[in-house]
Amino acid sequence: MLKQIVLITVSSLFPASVALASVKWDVGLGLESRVQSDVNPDFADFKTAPQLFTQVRMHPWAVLVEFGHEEGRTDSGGFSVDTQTVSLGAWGRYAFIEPERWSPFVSAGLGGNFDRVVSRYGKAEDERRGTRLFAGTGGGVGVALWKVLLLEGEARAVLVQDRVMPLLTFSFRAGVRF
Amino acid sequence: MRFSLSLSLMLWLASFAVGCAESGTSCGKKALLLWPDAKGEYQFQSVPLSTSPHRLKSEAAEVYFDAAYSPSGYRGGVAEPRLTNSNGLCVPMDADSSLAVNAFAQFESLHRFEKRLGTVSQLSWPRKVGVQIRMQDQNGLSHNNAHYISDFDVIAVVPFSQPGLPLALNQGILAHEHFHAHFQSQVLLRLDRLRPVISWVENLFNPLFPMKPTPDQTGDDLWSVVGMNSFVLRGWNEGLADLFGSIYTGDPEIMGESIPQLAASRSLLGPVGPLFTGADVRNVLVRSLNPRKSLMDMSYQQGTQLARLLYRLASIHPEDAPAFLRRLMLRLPEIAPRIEPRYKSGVMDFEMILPILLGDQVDELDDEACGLIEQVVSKAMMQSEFARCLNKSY
Repeated sequence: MLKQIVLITVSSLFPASVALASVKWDVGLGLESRVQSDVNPDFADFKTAPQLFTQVRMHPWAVLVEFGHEEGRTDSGGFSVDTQTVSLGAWGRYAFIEPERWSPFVSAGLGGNFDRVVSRYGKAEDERRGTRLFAGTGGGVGVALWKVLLLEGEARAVLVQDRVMPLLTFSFRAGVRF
Repeated sequence: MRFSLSLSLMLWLASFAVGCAESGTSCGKKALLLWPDAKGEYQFQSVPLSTSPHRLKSEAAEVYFDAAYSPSGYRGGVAEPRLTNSNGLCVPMDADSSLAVNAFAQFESLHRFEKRLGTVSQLSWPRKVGVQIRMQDQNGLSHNNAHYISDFDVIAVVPFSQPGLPLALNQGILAHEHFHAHFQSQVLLRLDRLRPVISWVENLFNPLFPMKPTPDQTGDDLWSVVGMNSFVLRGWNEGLADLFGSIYTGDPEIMGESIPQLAASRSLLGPVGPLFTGADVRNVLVRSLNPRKSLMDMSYQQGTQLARLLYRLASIHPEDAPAFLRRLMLRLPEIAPRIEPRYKSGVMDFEMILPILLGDQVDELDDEACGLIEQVVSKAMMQSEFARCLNKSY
């Protein structure tokens, strides 16, 4: 049912280039490494987080949907902050070559980080939920080995709400195509 | 179709991106901070700021994080905390960000407090504050302390590793360090020709910032009149700083939440006793196996005695404690010219500062105030400076 809905939606956006037989799906895991400025803006912080992705392709276009989750705790003395972030993004892509060979692509997308922040000190505790929208552009290269195994790498520059400086992200993804 | 779709998509994305960049302040000018409530208990509260907390810079303060310092202050850019938007409230997403935003908010609060007191012009603003400043002392990486660095006119809070309230969140301690800037500008810098010695003494209290001594500064200066008087000055500085922090916060025990081992010794609710004379200071030096440490301990202990007396006087002041503090701070410039004749000739008594600070209030002292003062000062001083009290029955 979902596949039908997506195909109808995509068909309406690409009336001149729809070929139902050329629609391909990818599902897999990714690893995103993020370079962002530290609280001291003269330093950069480097973080890595896993992601799940699914992608629908009708060459040369594709739409990639990513889902990520990360959490962490920081503290100073008796004061601590626990943070959980669920990220959801959708990226449109244009691939220059059929991915049966190494194929470069460019991308643009947007999404949201949905945060849960729990701050604690002694008996005082506060839980808040926040949102940080993001948008960005990028580029990368991918290949479908044996027409089934998808491997790709991508670099992006991402603007995030409530961040002064943009993020640079580098992702590696591996998945299956069907 | 494909081209126009691409163009539309890129234009929309670009406008969205520009919108994002310009609306980095989406969470507004209120931040979730650990802040004392009306009872003085630290709770998480929404605290308004003069500007969005994405870059911690305003007319009141500049906050730096894990930064190096220089003669012009701190190097590099001001702190940029990590925040998320929770219904228009900026929520720090990690402890570092929270410490930085909290220090910023505290100095904005201090700026407003000083405007109400009428003492804001005694200092230059914005105040430069460093949080999580990493530096070495004789024991390695310094922890659990905060300093006013007079040579750079900055405040530095080093990392905190004890179980209590981090120093960067402790309003009383930050106010204490902030007051040292007032004493520096209104007292010490007015003793201009004595500045090199003052820097030398400061080295003992701030071993993180060893200054190259000038040729006449050796360990033997400890035994000089000026050397010993520098410890008297330090005691006044520390005591008045504790008083400032306590009146600003309304908490007479500003150390306890962060450094419980100092809670009792630095509590302003402790017993009041006589202040040391110059002869007592000499005796500390002569009788000690570790003169430097003994003199430093004496400075803190006598400072606390001074602060306890003044805190009690503030508590019974006919106006209110901040009004009493205001009058004291406006008297700070009187200290240097009044003590300078004695500064090089003889070791000062700790009580010397009291008639200077209370000079415009002597005629207003009631029985209770006179009784408190008599517990602390010598009979000679009561007769010479507080004679009015001798006519009272208390």
